[in-house]
Amino acid sequence: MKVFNLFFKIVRAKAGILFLYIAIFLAICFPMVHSNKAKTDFEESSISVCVIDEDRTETSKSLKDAIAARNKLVEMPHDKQKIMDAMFYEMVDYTVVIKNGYEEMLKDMGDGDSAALFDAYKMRDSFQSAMMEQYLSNYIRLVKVFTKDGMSLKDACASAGEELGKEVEVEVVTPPGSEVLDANYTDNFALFFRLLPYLLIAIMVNVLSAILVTLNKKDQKMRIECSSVRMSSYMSQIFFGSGVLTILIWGLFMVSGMIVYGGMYTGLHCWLAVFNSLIFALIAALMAILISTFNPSGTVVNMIAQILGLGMSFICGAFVSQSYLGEGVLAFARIFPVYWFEKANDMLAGIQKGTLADVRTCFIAECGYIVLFIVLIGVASARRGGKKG
Amino acid sequence: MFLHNLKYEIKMNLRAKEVIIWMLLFPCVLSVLYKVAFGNIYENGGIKTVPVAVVENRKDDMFRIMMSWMGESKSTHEEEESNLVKWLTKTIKEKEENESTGEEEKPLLFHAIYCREDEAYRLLEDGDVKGIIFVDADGVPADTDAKKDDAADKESDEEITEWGSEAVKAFLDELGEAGHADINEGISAADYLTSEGLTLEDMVEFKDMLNSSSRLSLKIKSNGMEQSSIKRFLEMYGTLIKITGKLADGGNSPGTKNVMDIVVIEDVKLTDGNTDQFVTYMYNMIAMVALFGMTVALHIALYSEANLSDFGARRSCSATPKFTTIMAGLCACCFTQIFCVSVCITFQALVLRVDFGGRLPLVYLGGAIGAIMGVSMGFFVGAIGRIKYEAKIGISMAVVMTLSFMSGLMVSGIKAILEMHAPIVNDLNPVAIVADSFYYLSVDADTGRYFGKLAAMCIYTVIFIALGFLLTRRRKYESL
Repeated sequence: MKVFNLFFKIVRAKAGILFLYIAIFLAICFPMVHSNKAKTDFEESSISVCVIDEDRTETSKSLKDAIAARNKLVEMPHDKQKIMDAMFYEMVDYTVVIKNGYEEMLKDMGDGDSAALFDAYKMRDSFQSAMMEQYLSNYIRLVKVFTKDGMSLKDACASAGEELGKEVEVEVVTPPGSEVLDANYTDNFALFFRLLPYLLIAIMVNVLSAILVTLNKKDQKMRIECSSVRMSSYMSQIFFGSGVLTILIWGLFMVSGMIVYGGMYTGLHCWLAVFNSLIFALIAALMAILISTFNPSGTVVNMIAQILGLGMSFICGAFVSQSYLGEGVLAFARIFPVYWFEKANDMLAGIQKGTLADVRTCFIAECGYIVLFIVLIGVASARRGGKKG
Repeated sequence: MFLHNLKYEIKMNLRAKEVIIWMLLFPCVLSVLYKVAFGNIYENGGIKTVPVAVVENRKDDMFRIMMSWMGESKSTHEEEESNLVKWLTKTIKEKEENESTGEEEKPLLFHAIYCREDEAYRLLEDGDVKGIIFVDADGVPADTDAKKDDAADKESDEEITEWGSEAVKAFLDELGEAGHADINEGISAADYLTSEGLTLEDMVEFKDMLNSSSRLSLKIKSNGMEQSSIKRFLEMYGTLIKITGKLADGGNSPGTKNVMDIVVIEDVKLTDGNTDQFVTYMYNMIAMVALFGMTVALHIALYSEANLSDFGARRSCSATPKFTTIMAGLCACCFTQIFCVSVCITFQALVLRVDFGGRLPLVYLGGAIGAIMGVSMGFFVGAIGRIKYEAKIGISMAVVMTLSFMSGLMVSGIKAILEMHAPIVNDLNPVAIVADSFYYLSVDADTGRYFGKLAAMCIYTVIFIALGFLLTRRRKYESL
């Protein structure tokens, strides 16, 4: 087992990178996974509204309260640049300035008069901004209607707010005859598995490829070739070492996943997602072995890890859900294994339509890549051996 | 001697062909992937049409008109529409077409599919719709009918025509038109609608449409912004019906009928620059390439320290001062890295047509200073400890990628989350600083904030170079 021990001696030298990636991944994943509640009840996606009250009267406060009752109020100073940044990065969906003199203008507004009571900062068109514009217009119209009915301005504002606060009944349903969603595998937790391909590719290429490249170095190789270790034994020990390392890396992620999940995985969908990640870990490992057959330098190994990891993750929907990607992109993405991993993961989490049979199809497609990579590794090794001969 | 060293350092950098090729290929290939993957996400101003199924357990023409105004509709079964509904739908569509000529088209918010309940559930299950809207009777039909009969008894034909006309006008006004042009030109609503071929029966029908309110409910499969949008729309529709009905009821009292014409919101444009959020991926890409200067510059300290490499040992014995050698190495790395960043910017600006605003030379300047900052960081990291060169490359890559992630290279929303909870991270993150400088150039009219970010990059550069020199200076070796 000398080669096997040597293999893990080199692994120890690369362990820092491995743990660095896992620590960063966990630090990023934990808050993202735990940022939202479960999906069993309806939870309205609130609109982030910044209300800048320049009038500071009871009437303007009444409007601000009415907006706050239905939306997420974001406090910000009246600084155009800060507002622009917040709206650009969608921290704020809509910014409204209640102009100075709002109360007086509302009182004095005669029949058919028009007055700009609000300034609305606009960045780009969105459903949220359209809804808020409608909200403000309707609020003022209701106030005018109620005051014409004889109500005081204060009561009219309160009634308008109340009227606009009426909610439509919403129910989260499982359509009859549909496959039951696994509440144990929420779309929030699915995010952990969704980001895994990038990490697995980056780590496998950075660690496994780097180890194999080290073992394939000319001096190292020549020393091994003239030693008493038979080539078949050497290759099988390397293969065994790569397998053990792959399982170890995958296992580390699964244990990390349990920390994020908050205990042992439960439910069929959860375990299927774990199985899905195991298949993908094997694909990433084979990808790393294939890269190592070309003997790239250390920097190039890193570059390859990033370009493969980032490229496939973007195209196949690891960073952005597949539902956001265009048909053409997804059609192209089908040639990459990450696409099938993400598709299966999305279906298990209920983000995409599909039955367990469809999930199985994705698994089969991923297994196809395993076979393909084994063949490619064989061909690449044979060619290299041929050249040497 | 400096120029001599500089020449050979540049030659050495350029001869590391595989590194240079990757440094040039990597960002270009990734930029293309970004463009392909995200190029269409923010089209249409970020508005995505939401498909929704509508199950009508009672027919509500008003709701149908509203849905057709908000987007496009299709029905799985044919139904005969009344004269009034046809006219209202036609008028709204004509108005939209007139408003959209020459300009960008109004985005379609909803795609409504009218179908049976079982079919709606199937569509929801298949993910073809985001929710099912149920249109049910309000539970007070008899009462409403009694009111209608009562009203019909008391009101004269003229009163109904006047009421209906005002209600139609109020309804059209609510749909974003500031009153139909002809109505506003002095012709009464009643006269206008009569000239359009609408009859007394149509006015009665419209009154019935307003009076016979439906109970709307929504069924969804999962939470999300699209589902919330449907809910908000239904609530907005409920308010619209209420206001229209109230205004029509009080049509003869002065003032209320003009309520719909009130313009209460004045739009203030925040910037004339590029507001497409997709472009931040490109900014972060350039920033990442600039920070890759770290990997290029790692060898500077390695090749100047006698205990780290044979090359360093030889240099330590030479007559050239260490300062000159290191400075030549730094300048050569800066030259190489600026070249790589410039190629990346040129590729994005000229080939991928990324909109950087009208100040491309300043984008190059920001990229160049970012590249120098990256090199200075690499020099510093290279000077730390006796860790192996390959390990330092790995660590540098991991650090750059993490900083890039936090700046929004992979998930654009992450920067906003950090800005909300820990804004200091964005202020200190070198990748975010470079990316922000491009963002400010794109959206700001002045260059104040841009130069602020350049100053931050320069401060980082000075600090890292100073620390690098501190770690490499005055080292003596008892034996080599």
